[in-house]
Amino acid sequence: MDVQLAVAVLVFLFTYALIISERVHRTVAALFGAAVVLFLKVVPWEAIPEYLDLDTIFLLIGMMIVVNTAKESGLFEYIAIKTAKLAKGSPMKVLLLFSVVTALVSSILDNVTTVLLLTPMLIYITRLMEVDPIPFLLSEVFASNIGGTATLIGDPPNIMIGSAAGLSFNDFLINMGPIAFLDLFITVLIIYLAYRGEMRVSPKRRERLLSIINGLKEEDAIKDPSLFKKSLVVILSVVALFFIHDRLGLEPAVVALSGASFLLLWSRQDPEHILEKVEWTAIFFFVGLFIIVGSLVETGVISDVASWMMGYVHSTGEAILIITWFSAISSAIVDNIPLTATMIPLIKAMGTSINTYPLWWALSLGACLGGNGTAIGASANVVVIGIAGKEGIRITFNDFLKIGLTIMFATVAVGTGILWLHYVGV
Amino acid sequence: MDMDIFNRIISRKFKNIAGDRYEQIAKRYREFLLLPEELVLPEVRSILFPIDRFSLDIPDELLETLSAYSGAFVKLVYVSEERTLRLIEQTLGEEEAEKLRMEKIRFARQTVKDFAPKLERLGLSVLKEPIIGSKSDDVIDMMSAQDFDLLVISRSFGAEPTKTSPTSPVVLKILQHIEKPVIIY
Repeated sequence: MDVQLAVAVLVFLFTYALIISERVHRTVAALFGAAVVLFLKVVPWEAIPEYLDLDTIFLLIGMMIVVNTAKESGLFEYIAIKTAKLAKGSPMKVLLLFSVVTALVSSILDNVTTVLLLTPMLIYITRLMEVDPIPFLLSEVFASNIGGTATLIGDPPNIMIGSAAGLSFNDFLINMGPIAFLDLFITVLIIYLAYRGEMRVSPKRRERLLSIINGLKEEDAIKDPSLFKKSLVVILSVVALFFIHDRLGLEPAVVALSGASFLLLWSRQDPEHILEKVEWTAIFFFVGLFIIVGSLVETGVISDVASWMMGYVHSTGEAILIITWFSAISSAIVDNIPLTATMIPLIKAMGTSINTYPLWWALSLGACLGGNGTAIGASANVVVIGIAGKEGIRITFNDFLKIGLTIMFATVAVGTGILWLHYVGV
Repeated sequence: MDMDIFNRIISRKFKNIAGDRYEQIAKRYREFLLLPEELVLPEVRSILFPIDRFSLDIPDELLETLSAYSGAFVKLVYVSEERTLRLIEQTLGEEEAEKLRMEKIRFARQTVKDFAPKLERLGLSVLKEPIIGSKSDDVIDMMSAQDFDLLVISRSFGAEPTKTSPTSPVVLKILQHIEKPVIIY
C-alpha cells in the first residue's frame, strides 16, 4: 500500500473519530489533520488553492458579517415580537407562525443565529400560555433545518454543494424549495398531531396573554433605527442579487462579500467589533476539512471508492436512493459538514459514468434533513436544547429521538419521492 | 443507554457553538420583555413603612403607586437607634440619656403624626408607632415575624447613601435579609 495513501486514510479516519468523539474541538481536530497531511506532503502546498473551496469560505464570511451587523440593530427581536403578535395567543398559530418564520429566516441566514434569536421569544410566549414549550421548540429546530435545505445559502452543506457543482441560487430554490415547503407542512402537522393534547389554552389565559403580547412594542426592540433600516435594505438587496447572480455572472460569494462590505461602509459600524463576531472557528474548520479531503483526492482514495460504488450502483434512481439515505442517516449521527465535504468529490468522481445533477439534490436533502434525526444531528438542535436547558426546560436525547426520527424519515421520504418522480419518473 | 452522556455532549457542543452569544441575546430580550414574576401583581394587604430622620419625603410617584393598595394596613414605624442612646449613657450618664430618650420619643411621635396623613389620604389604614431599637435588625424581624406583604423604605433610611451604592448600608443589609417585595424611594 502506498504510504501517502495510508497516511491520507489514517488522518481522515482519525480526524473523523476525533470529531465524532468530541474530545477535542472539531476545528482543532480538522486543523491538526490538515497540518499532518501538509507536513508529510500528502497534499503539496501548491495544490492548496485547488482544494480550499474559497466560494464556500467567502460566502460564509460575507453572510456572517451581514448577520452580525444586522443583529446589532435589533432586527431579529423585532421579527420575533411581530410574529408573536400575529399569532394572537393561539398555540396552533404560534406553532405554525414561528415554524414558518424560522424556516424563512433560516433559508437566508444561518440556522444557529436564527434559533439563537427566535428561541427566547418562543419560550417567553409558551410560558405566558402556560403550555409545554417542548413541542414548540422542537418544531422550531426542525423548521430551521428544513428552511436551510431550501436555498443555496441556507445551510453550509448547500453552500459547499452549490460551490462544488456550480449550482445557482435559483437551481436550489427550484429543486429544493418545493420539497422544503412540503416537508415543513408535514413536520408541523406531525408535531401538532403528536402534541395536540398539550396545546390547549383557556380563553381567560389567552385574553391575558393577548393583552401582554399586544402591550409589547416591537419598536422597543430596535436598538438602532438607522442601522435597522440599512440592514433591512442590504439583506433584501443581497437576497435579490442571489436570485440573479448567475445571470450577472457573479459567484454567490461575491454577492455576500459585496453586501457585507457595503453594509459595513454604510452603517459605519466598528469593523473590528463586527469581524470579531465572525465565527472564525467554523471558517477554520472548513479550511482544515477541505485540506484533509484534498489528501483523499490527491492520493486517489476518492476515485477508488467511487469506482467501487459504481460497481453496485447501476442507475440514477439507485444512486439517488443510496446517496439520500446514506447521507441522511450519517448526518443524524455525525456532523453533516465533514460528511458533505467527503461526499462531494465522491459524487464528482461518479460523474464519469452517471448524470450527477440529481445526485447533488440527493446529497443536499440527506445532509440537511438528516440533522433532524437526533439531538446532536445539527448545530441548531444543540443550540435549542442548550437554551432550553439554561431556561430549565429539559429535552432529553430520547425525547428528541422519538419525534426527530419520525420527522427525519417522513421528510426525507417525501423529498426522495419528489426527486425520484422528477429525475427518474414513474 | 445512559442519556446523561448525550446531555453532557450537548452541553459541551452548546458551549462551542453558542458560546456567550445566548447570554448576550437573552440580556437584550430582558430589556423589553417582562419577567413572568413581573407580570403578576403581588397582592398587598399589609405594608411596613419604617422611617427615621434620614428618610426622604414621599415622592408623588410613590404616592401614586401606594394608591393602588387602597384599603391596605400600613405600619408606619419611626425607628430611633438604641446604640446612640447607649453611647450617650456611657459618656454623659443615665440622666442625660433619659432626657434624650424622651426627646427622641417625642420627635418620633410628632414625625409619624405628620407623616401619616399623606398615607391615610390614599385610603390606607395607618398604625403609627415610634420605637427605639436597631434600624436594620428590627425592620428585618418585623418583616418576618409579622408577615408584611410589602416593605416601603427610603434609600436614605439609617444613613446617607454612600458614594458606591445608591442606598444606605442599613437598607442594603435589610434587603439582603428579606424575601418580600420592596419599594425603595
